[in-house]
Amino acid sequence: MSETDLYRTPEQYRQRYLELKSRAQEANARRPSGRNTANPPVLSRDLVVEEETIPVGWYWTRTIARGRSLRIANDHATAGVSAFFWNAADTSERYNAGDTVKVQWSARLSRGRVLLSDMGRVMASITDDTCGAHDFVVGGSTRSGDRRKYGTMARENPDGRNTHENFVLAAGKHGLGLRDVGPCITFFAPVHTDEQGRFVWQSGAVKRSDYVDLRAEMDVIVALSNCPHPLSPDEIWRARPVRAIVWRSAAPAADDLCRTATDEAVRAFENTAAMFVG
Amino acid sequence: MTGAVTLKSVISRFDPAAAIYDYTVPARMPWSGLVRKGQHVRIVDVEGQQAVDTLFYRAGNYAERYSAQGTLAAQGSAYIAAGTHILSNEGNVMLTMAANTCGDHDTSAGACSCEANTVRFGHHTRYMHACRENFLVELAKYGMTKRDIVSNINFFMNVPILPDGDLAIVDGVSKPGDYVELRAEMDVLCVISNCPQVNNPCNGFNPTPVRVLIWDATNN
Repeated sequence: MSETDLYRTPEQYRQRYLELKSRAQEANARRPSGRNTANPPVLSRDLVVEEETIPVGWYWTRTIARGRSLRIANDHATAGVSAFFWNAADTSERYNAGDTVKVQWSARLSRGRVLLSDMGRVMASITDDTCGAHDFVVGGSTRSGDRRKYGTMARENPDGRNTHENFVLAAGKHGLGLRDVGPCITFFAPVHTDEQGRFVWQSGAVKRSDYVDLRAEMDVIVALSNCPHPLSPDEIWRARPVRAIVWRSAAPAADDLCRTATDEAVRAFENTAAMFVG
Repeated sequence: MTGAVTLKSVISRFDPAAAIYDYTVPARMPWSGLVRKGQHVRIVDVEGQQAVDTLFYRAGNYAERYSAQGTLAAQGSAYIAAGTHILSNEGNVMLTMAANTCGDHDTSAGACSCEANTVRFGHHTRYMHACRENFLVELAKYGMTKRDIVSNINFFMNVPILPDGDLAIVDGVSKPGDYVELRAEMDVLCVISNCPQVNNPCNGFNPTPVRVLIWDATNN
């Protein structure tokens, strides 16, 4: 049979899908749990390109060169830091929430997994993660959602700052707008889905000094928003400062975990590499 | 947080003979149309197990569009079902799911694309028709581009998110004739891709037609 697949029968497609699924779920089951990474827990000064403290309620945006890494340092265990990404060379290519979870067969992504664009390419790799409890489904806060949750004028957030508008602002600083803001990730937001499909916040899963390292796999524009997750259990609006640290990470080794963990990741990196040929 | 969603089957009282619009979208093809405030739009899974990838935009201001994440955050649960308020990126209610005969509908797994297919199923699947190809062609009629494709609703697509985070497209539960029906709470542009995917179970490995009906507000 040729590789075109176009002439397969429904039963052959089904068999192939079930094989892919079982291979992926086996890979997910044996994903590394302990910390075993080349990334230094403390970044020496010579590695740091830039370090910024993002005040509560605010956003931060930068272009990060391919190969460099971004550490999001959650020093005070704030309940969620939201993130969105565009390809700096073509901002119509951006983080795709649906592809990221379905391609990797999991909504609980951590160290060793990747963030995918809408073009089947890797935007960033999760090279380290001390927390492991992030939300890839529910997203970030909005003005209307915060109003429902905290009342019209939360004393702690008088300007009504929220993640959706922070991303519109971050997009605006790059000449982008509302049309360019899509579904996002919220790191340090331990949201699980129970058997009935209800979201459950797993209190205690985010610790002080947790951090996530993201290695840029293309030149990316990143936007971070330091606003509490819409499902955080706090009854009052409460956030803590976080740090964004751009640092010089080592070039990925041949056996780099993120690049080799799954067949899907290998193919996504093949698509990404093709962009840089020539 | 408690949502208004229900797993129970909710039947519509509208008679297909009284619909002001009745069109069968062929297998693998796109469709779009305006649904005015107060009108009901029904999507019928004619032969069963057929994913219908759907996006909504506010008529007259397409920058305001469906927000999958805003919709799920507001209801506190992971699927679209009867009673779900479909919210926009500006936090406004665009539509309400008024009737639903077949369980939960996905809104987290997005639409298939040629590029994502290469990653999921192998590079040899690049040249197979995909939902985002349908979306691009249909959105172009309204001056929209790839920038305007956000996470969509996948009516009749079954994607359980398990407590351990595992997520997979599994066999659909819709039977021939099952339907969803939405009441528009503002004038909305509805854009559909009748999903052509055969590499996973979302269409029972055999894409089939779906039917779109619209009833006027005056019929309520």
